Amino acid sequence: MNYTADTFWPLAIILALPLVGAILNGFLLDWIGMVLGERARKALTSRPVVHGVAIAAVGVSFLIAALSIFGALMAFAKTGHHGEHAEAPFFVMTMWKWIQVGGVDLDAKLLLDPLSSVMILVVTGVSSIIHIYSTGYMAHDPAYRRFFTYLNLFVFFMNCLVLGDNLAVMFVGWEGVGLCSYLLIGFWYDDRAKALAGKKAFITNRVGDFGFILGMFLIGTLTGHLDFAGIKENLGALTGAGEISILGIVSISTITLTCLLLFLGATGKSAQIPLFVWLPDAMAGPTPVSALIHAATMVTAGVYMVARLNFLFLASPPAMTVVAIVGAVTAITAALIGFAQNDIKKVLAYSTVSQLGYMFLAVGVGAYTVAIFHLMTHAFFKACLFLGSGSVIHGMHARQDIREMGGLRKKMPHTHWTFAVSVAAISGLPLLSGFFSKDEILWRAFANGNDYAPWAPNLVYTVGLITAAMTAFYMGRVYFMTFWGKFRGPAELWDKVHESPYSMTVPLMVLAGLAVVGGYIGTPAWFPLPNWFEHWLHPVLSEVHVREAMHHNLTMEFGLMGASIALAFCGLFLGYYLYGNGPHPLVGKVTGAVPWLYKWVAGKLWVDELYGLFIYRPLGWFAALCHRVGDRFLIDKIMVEGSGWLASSGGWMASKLHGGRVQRYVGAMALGMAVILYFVATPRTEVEIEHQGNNTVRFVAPYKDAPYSYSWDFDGDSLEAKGDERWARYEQVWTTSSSVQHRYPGPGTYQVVMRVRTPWKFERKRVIEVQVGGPGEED
Amino acid sequence: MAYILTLLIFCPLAVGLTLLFFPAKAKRAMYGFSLVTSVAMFFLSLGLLTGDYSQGTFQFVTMRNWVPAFGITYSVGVDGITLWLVLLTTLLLPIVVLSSYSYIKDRIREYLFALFLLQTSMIGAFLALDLFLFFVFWELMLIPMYLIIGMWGGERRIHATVKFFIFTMVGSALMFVAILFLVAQFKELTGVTTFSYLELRRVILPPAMQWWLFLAFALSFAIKVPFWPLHTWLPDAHTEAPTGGSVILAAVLLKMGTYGFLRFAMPLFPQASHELGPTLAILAIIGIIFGSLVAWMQKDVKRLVAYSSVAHLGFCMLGLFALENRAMAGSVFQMLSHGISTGMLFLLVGVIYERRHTRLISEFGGLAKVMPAYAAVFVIVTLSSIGLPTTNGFIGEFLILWGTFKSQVLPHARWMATLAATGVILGAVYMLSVVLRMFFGSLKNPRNRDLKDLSAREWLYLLPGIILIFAMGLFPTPFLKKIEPSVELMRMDYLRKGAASLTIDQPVLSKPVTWLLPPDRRPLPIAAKPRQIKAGPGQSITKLTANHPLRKGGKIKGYRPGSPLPTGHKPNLPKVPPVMPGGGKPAKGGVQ
Repeated sequence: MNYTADTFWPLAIILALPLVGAILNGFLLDWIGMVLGERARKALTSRPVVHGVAIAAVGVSFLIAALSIFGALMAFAKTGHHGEHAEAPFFVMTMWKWIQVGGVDLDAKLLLDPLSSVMILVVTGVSSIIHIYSTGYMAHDPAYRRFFTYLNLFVFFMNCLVLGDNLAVMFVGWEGVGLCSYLLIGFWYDDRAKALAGKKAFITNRVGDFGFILGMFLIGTLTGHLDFAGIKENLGALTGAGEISILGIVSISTITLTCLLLFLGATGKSAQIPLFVWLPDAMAGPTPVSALIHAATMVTAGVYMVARLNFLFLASPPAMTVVAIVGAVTAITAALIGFAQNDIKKVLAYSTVSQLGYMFLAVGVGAYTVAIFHLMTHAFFKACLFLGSGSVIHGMHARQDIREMGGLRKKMPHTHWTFAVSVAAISGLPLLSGFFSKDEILWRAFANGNDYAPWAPNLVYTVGLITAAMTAFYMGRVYFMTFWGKFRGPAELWDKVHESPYSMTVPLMVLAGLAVVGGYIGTPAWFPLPNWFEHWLHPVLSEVHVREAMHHNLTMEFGLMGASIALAFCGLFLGYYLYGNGPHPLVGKVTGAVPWLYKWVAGKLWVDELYGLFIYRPLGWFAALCHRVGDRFLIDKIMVEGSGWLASSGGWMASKLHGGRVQRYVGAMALGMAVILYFVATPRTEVEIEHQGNNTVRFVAPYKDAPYSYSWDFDGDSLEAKGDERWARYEQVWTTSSSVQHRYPGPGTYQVVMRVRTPWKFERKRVIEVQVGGPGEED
Repeated sequence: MAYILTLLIFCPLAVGLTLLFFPAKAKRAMYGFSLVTSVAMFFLSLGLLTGDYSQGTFQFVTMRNWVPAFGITYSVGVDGITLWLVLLTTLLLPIVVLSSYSYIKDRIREYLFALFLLQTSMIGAFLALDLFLFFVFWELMLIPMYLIIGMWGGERRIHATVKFFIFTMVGSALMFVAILFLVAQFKELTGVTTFSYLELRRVILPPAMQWWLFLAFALSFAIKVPFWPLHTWLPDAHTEAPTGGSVILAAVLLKMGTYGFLRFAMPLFPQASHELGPTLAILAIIGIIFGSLVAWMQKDVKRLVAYSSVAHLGFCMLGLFALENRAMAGSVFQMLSHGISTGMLFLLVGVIYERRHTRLISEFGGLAKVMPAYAAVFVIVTLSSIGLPTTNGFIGEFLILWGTFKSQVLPHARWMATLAATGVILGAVYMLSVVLRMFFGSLKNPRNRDLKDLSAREWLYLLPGIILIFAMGLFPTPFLKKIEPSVELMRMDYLRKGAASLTIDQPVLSKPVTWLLPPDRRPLPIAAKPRQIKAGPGQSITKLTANHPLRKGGKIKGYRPGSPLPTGHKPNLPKVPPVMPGGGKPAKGGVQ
């Protein structure tokens, strides 16, 4: 094929340009300036140079990506995208052998196929717009250069994530964007709370990465591949790997476990339950960052990853169901929390979590194309909303509370209309981009079959529909509170409120335009336009097909669409009714009626507090226990110092014996003499018994040289010997011989009385039992 | 080129001795001389890269008699493992010399002498191919380190040195006994006394005997690593040592422990290390988690870094005992990256200590405002330490965890890998906490207001590390390519010998270990004494292992120590008949 290439250099350039920008702005221009002199240094680090470099890096990267994809598109169109077996156009670029050791063979390799081409366009395109916007928003910030450095670095890692041809390269981007997110959330690090929010984001993401890396190991170990094509080819090794028992409690099939582990990674990056807690805090970062990283690009990485591994997830219906349900539950939970937030950015943050939930709902029901489609449209309108909120905050002199706003549409007309368009798009008003994507998700949630859990489609559809109404309501709320009614802030501020400069409003307009027209490339079947988006992605994304009964069932499709449009209008109208002219008294009544519920919702369901109480703090206590008790006391005090103490106290005691006092020496000597004397004075009665056979036993006392005399009574009768005179002659007679021998008349047990005497007439007696003959003795 | 290893070992000593002739006041001259010579030695050590490491054999081997009466030789050689460790050592010396310039105020001459003596002993210990030579360098290392901590250390330096010294001595005393025992066994088998590593590696001991010797070696190395729970000397020694001492201690001395396991304890006593491997792997995992948690609780930043070393070296040890080639190569790689990242962390702590004379984290806060470059470097090194992809820390951890995950010899390998992977999360917890507390937030402490950012000299000694962090993270393959053959050779021999040792109940001798040497450097083999019959009648040990149930088709298949086989295993030998009436002798069996 002429549109496939093994060494497609432009890919490396797309990837590297933002990195070059980051390096230039980060230190290189500064260092060059240092060499050239103070004036050159000032010029090279001036704002125009900084944002010129940054915007050029991302913009050119976008252009190259667009041109490459355009070329691929042309070729794709020529060779025929008709039919089921259309082959995916793709470019790959192997940059170098990254890790090669012991069966690991990972290339630093990039892949541009239809899926990553959509993503790369969204990422670099939206990034370019937001870079331009930032020149206005950050104009007065002293750390201008650092900001653009981080932003470029982020785009680099995001490109890496999107273009990576294997899970490991994807993981580089995956962790890299996490790093940039950390740096940018804590951009104004003087504020400890902001730095803390960055740390929280990083650590929460690391929990997800823990799952990602284990999933990667499972895949790599079983299939022997980490590159997507290789995994797909060897999928059988995973699906056929049987069940894995987890601590003997549950047994789970390997493929499902793999998918769930990877999904844990996705919940971290894409802020889904249970790891969504970091995203609202991430709003501490500058608003362009919120728009770029925490709305349009990075947080969608989880969706992209699941879509990229669609063949893997499709092989595990249980995992798909979990993904769909987690997505639906996150969508509705976040929407609920969004009701009670007053910080304009927080509302948008929860709306992002909720919309990401939609995307996971879509991938969970197997509608990957639609999920990516919603990812794209969401990037447009959510970026527009965030940048709009940034414009508002800019105009309101860093105030973010919507209760202090109102009537801003008179002062900020451009911001107002772009915001309005985006609110309409996210609410799903007909013929805007959000309408096409969200409605398609709902339709597919309803229409797709799920053999594993037949109840799941209805459940997720219902939750999705309710969430759609809720979205319209809280987005209406934030819009009307901000732009309608009377200004509720301090009166003197009203005069200072101003529209933002063109550098900020033009990007807003571009994004608003995209929010309107972006949907027309992926229109549903009934729409007069063809669905280019699906054609394009079809070769790389397998899908769960629509149930037979729903196939071409336009009545049902239009019915459902009508319901969701009606609900969207209802939601917006309710928003207008309650907030169109400042908060309606009814609002206070409703929240006042159930104050605990309101507090619970406004307090983000206390999830943060629960995690703190049950995870973070116990971990801290455990660490303190390890430190104080385990390390300092048990190991260091008892074991280490204890053994030292034992040795030194032994030495101390020994030293006391050598104090130079003669009395002690004499005493010790006397003691020693006494001990020796005791042993010498007491006769030893040890004896060895040797069976000689023929009923003869020999008794040997080991202290041959001791001046002892012995007397023996071989049969314990206290009488003179009878019988064999030759051997019995020692019986009851004192002798100095330490060994004697006695022949018994026959087998049996005999009592022997042994007497030992020292020269000074100390005498000891010992009674021994001797077994003569019997089974133990060989004759 | 043939004498490059000898030059590398003894040049530092010569430089150190020359330094003693400098006048005590000539600070600049001494530092200049040290710097130039240490940089020259680094470039000299780069010559090692010209060796052929693709077969895993020892390169640049030199063998000379030293004390022929006791079979002690001066044998040195370098393979893919020690190559990088030596390069790390030689790279660090100029860095340490530079960093000491403003830190060491008195007795500079003696300090530099101690540094160079330490260098000689460390390189010697890495390169020694004779157990006696190794032991000499191993013990020699203690003295300069003892002096560096004891003379130029902090307030509680005496306590720290005594602890350091006693801990290390306890281990090495037992190790020496074990070495002598091994030599005695070799003598009994061959009638030849030798301390040569290559010869002693031929001795295959029965498992019960291996246990005791392995324990003696392992104790010595485990203390050095330091292995949990033998680690408590480390935080004290690190805290009290001057910056240069801490850097060398963390970057090189700790690697002696892991290197010792890889070079001596494991290949000499494979069966014992196989049986104890799972236990040690569990201790390593405890070390990872425990070290991370305790690090999190530290108030002194230097202690924190010390505990992070406990955690990182836990990864190294886990990788070794996983006995999976990617994990073992990853483990060696992790030794290097830990050397660089932790060495740099100590350098960075030294930078701030010189300015503020405190290491308490609570004294800092908001430093990023006054020292932006310092903060940036610190964050980069932190990222390397917590294993962010594109940095060197990631490669090692990734390979170790993956190898552990698919390990054939560890029981519940996947669970072990999972537990160890929590260390990746905990690493982020404690390192980012310290970054937060030191650099972010507002600049509250007035004493931090006028701190100077990195000077040119500080940049100079930090820059190589920063470059290496990314170079090793992005291009690890050149490193791994050289490490892998050596590790693989060791692993195969380990499995073979482990299997062979199961079939015997008395020591036997294997074939000469000539495959560890390049073809042109092979020594004449020492033959087994003809009358020594250790196997059954008419059976050579090679035959025995060939027929062993663990081996199928000449390959060791499914060989899983730790499974019931080793414990209570009776060698599957035909019974040697008892001494026959009439003084009959068993038939002769040639032991190969």
